[in-house]
Amino acid sequence: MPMSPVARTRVGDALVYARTMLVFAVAWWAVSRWTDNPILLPSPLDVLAAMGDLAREGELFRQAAVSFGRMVLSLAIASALAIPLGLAMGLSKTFEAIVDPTVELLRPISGIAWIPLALFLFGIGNVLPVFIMTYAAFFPILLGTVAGVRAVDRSLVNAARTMGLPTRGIVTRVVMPAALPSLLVALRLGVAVAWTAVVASELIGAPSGLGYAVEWYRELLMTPQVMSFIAMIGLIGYICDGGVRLLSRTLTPWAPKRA
Amino acid sequence: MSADTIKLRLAGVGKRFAVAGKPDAVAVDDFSLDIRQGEFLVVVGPSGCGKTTVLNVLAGLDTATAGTVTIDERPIAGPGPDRGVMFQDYALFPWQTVRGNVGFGLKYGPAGASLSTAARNERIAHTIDLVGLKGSEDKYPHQLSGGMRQRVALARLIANEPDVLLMDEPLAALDAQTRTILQDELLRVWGQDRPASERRTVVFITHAIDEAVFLADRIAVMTAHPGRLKTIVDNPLPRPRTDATRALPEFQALVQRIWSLIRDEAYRATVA
Amino acid sequence: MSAATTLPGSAQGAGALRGRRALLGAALPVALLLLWQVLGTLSADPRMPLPSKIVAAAVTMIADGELPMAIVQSLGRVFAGFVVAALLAIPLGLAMGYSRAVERNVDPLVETFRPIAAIAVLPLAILWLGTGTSAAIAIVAYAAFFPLVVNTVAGARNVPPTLLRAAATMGLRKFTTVRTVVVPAALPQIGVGLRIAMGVGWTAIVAAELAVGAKAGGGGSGGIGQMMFVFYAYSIELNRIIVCMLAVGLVALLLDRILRWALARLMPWSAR
Repeated sequence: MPMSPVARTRVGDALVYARTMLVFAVAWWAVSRWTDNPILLPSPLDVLAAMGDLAREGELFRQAAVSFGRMVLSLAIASALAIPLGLAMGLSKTFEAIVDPTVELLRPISGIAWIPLALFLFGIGNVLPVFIMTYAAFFPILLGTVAGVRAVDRSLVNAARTMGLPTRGIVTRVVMPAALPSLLVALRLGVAVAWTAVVASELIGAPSGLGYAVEWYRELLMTPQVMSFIAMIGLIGYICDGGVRLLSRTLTPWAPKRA
Repeated sequence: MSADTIKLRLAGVGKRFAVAGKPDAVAVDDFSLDIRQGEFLVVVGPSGCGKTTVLNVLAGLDTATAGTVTIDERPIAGPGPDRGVMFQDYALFPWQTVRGNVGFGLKYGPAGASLSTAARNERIAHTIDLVGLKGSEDKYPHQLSGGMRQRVALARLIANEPDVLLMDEPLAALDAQTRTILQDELLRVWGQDRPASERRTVVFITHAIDEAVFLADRIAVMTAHPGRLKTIVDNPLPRPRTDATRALPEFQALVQRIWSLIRDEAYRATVA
Repeated sequence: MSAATTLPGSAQGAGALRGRRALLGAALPVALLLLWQVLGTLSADPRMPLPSKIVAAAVTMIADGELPMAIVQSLGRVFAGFVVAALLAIPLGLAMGYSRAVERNVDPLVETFRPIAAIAVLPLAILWLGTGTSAAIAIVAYAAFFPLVVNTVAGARNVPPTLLRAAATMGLRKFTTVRTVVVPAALPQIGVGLRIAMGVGWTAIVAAELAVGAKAGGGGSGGIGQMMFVFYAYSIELNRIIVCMLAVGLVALLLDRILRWALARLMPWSAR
């Protein structure tokens, strides 16, 4: 990649982005004038105003913090369960043979399909969204860990063995670093599915959070507020994805870049 | 057209690549060469000497940054069906069968526009037969060996009946035995048994000197950094050439002579 | 790899190994189910779901046509939304992948809306289209649109350049090149997009039906998601909820298998 034109391209990209979004906003505004129904389609200016109000009152950030906190907690739990299990499955053929079919039986059942049962088990509250998200994020992280461990170059393991590393050293010094890029890709996927699940589970089964807020304002027919919270959901999803990618670059600078 | 007609002319051709923050990289510098109608010209040289750039300029896939390139005295502006290319990696379409690949240009390009479907199919079948792939028409590239893929690429090239065949190290990926067999076949398909006036013009790139000596009428020897034409060697070995040709002392002598021209440079390339 | 521990050619050894694997794999689910059954029977709560009761519930629900009907209803919506998404996303993705200018100008919109989960848009869809089928179809289309666009763009962008050059040397026109080279070369990646889109579409429909059931007070829109919610909200029939969950998983699995099979049929050239 040539180095010097990048900066110019970045500015250029920003301009193109702004231009496209401006065209979109003007089209939206025109349609909103034409339909002339602020409940069905408020103008982008109304949405901006509502967003400003919600931000000033702090409600936008409060609800975002609640949802974000739930997701971080869920990812932590899912990782704590899935990574050791994935390491064990990747390292031991026998263990993998025992556990894998059960995983494959549960995996197609989406987290969202657990919501009715979880409603019965946990009721409406904090536990339900965390449970659903943990479940949703668990499988991609598990599969990514297994795939990462499985793909570790045998000759790296053999090289470490010839250097006299004990098994534990091989796992922590060779297998885990080698599996890390794959694990981080899986974590990115886990964040995406967890964030999708947070909205669905809060929409139905939580008294707080972004999903709840969207539904709350819909029932009040306050569409600008609905759109503000939807935008917040997108923004946090985008930031989280960027965060994981940044984490990947920082933790595994040796790994080939992926889009 | 007489055998001395100039088919392709490269005059003072240069090619530079812009690299940000550095002086331009010179791939080819002041390259002049006339290629005659019906001749089999081989370009040899160490890796990185710009052989492929010269071929791509002739194909119209790259544009020269200096000099002129003409075919039949008309400047070359871009790729065209008058110049067929055989790529080093064969560039077979994985979703097409052998028949589909061989007929690709006839079906979708201008080469077969004037042909009826029957005539087109006839030519496809004939070409597949010519390269010895009869019976494999419905196979996909991934089901073929390297040598068979090479034959498909060759068949696709000649099915379009281009005036000029441009070949970029087409045998490089093959094992030594397959390579020897395909060299023989290539000369047969080119028409070394026929009079020179009925042959097509070939520009063939290789880094293997014995291959160059076996195939060529003339051998253009290139050196690297920057890529330049060092000399042109006439190849007096009689045609048709066969396995016996490889055993001739003249064959060995010519190989030695060309090797001595590029040895120092080839050596330096391995430590660069 | 198991091949490392088994001698090559010992088919019997491989068969025995596979048998052992199947036995090991079945052990855990069977043990868990038995444990569940035993502990559940000891429980005093009459609502406690039990494997035996779940099987019985499944049999009744299938026999009276309730479950198949709900699945068919949900599937119909998924297919409708899926087709809408494919018709919009694949041509757009091809244009974006083939033309830098289109990509540069449209990509901001795609990237802005992509992080917004389909379920988040559901309240808007309900607002615009009501609680019926059209809102559900819109949600599926929205969910399926993004993976399809992104994968189609990637497929069209990553056409091996040598294939495009081969087409150029055969004199193909732009539109012909897109039809005969770009589309088939992008097809495997589009297939990946289709499979992901089908998966997220199915998840989205369950979520949408659940949410509509939960928030629109039952309604008459039906589908498997709604059925689950009705069992929860009005009768707390956990056995039936679990039957629905299993059905959701089974359908997801079958959809993916069928799609994978269809794609393999469509692309006989791909090695796998």
